[in-house]
Amino acid sequence: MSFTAESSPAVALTDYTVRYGSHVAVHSATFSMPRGACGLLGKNGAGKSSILKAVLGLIRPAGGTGSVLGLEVRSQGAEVRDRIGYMPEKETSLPGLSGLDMVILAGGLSGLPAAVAKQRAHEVLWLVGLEESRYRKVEGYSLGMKQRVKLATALVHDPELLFLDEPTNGLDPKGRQEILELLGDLVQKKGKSLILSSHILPDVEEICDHVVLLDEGRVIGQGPLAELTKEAGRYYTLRVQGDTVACHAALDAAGLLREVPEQAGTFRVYLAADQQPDVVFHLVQQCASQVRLLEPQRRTLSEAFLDAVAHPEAGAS
Amino acid sequence: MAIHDVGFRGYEGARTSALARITAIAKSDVSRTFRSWKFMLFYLVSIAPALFALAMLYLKFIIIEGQGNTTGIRLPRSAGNAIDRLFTVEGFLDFGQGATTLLTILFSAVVGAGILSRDRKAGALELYFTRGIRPWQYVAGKWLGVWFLLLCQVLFPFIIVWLFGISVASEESGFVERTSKFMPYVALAQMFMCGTLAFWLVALSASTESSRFALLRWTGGLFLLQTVSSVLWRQFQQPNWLAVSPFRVVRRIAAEISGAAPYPSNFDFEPAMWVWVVLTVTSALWLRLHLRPIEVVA
Repeated sequence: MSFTAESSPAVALTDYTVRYGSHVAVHSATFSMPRGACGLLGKNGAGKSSILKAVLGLIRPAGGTGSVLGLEVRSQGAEVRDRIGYMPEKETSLPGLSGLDMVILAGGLSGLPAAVAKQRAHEVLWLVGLEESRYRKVEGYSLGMKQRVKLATALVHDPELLFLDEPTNGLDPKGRQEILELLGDLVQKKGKSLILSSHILPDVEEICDHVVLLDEGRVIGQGPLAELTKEAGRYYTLRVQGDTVACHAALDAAGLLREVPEQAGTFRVYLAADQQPDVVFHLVQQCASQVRLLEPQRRTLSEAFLDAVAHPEAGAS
Repeated sequence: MAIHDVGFRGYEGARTSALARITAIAKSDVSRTFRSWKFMLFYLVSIAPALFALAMLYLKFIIIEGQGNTTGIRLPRSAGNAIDRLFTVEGFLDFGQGATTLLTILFSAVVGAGILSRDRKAGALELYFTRGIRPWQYVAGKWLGVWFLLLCQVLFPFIIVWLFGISVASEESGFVERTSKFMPYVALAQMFMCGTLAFWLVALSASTESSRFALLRWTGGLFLLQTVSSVLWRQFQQPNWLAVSPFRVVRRIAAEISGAAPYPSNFDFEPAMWVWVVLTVTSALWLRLHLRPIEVVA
């Protein structure tokens, strides 16, 4: 069926609204996430998890339409869920079951034959680094191990699309890096798509190509990561030689200074839309110093997010 | 090359049917239950009537009728006749009657009262409901698991008892001929009884996260209604008051299926049927009302 063609977006929502009683968690969200790695970014309570849960059929949306991999969320819920691997944010365990049993059950629920589920459970537990602890009961796992077993349950049935809700919570730096590497490889080498819901911006920056920014249940920005972090020449790294103290004071007085990195004589400056780089050269010259470097900078995702929060109308489209 | 480059394989095979997924849920619950040594200990206690029945058959057919092979034991033939009276349709349906009721109520509470509560508390509903199964399939899987566990207490041990009886009974005792007539109906009746109890259990456990509360509610409720029904029956001298007890209702319908005499008194089949319908429909509505994977927080 053409609906499920490779070209259809991973997730596409139109006017999607999610309510909990009288509280509106997601206001008419409209966005399209292409295949590949996409980030769903927002502060706690922004509506990220609510969107994932509504798309998975855990919450009935109050309005709007949605499709996942070309399948209608409302009418083809079970088919959608068969093709998604979901890693929830909160702790999910089945008391009395070992990590292996839990992953086998997850495989069986997703339609794997019993023998295949068992074999794949061993494989994915090894993949996420739980091969030594797979026979232990899940309730005895550390927080990081519980995160890994949740990832294993999301992967066991070889889904086309992964929904990962705060996947690096509770992981130590090494574990976090391992999981991010694994996710990156799944996208780049195995052709999987994933939606990474997180408030940890560096995680999203590391593996995602496309992001949707949410704030208080509204979409405040979306697009390719490279577009969102494109600076359009407004932030610059400036390195000067000479009287750096005087330069610091002059840049600050002119309202251009944004940040002073630890490296001596280096500043981060911001030029307004009507200002040219000549202003900087002039100021530095007045301080009897020389410009050694003036390089346009890309915005970080964090800056893009803060800008989008400050000017939501600009990014929503 | 990262370690996971070689570890993740795709799966191109066909997906299983809804029935296989339901069975996967039941299988997981049954194996989880039987892996607990506390449960195994309790299970041995709960099949005491079947163990007693087994001992009685041994006594009758090996010790009394096979006296030539045993030294030092002398029992009168009348003892053998008394034992025979245990192996009637009533005996197989409800061995020891009161004792079996007590054990079944306790056993059902242990295996099923917390079946959904446990999942709710552990946040496991998200694991189930984000897979390619529908809520009714989840309930069916849970019900199937509890049903099987209940059959392990009330039916399977008695099938073993019966098979043992067949293998040791003498031809002139008529054991095989007599019991073979009603055993299929007894099995059907037990399956109905366990199936109903399992459904009510699953439904009731949907509304709480506390397994302990679910257990107390089930046992307390059943014992209370059992007592109330007896009091009302004696007070008004009307056996139909026994239909106040859900356990007696399923027992009455099971007696009808198997052809056993109603116990403890001859209350009518019709009120029992009505109560069964009302309780089962209420349980289904209760499930629909309470089975939500996400707690709604306003």
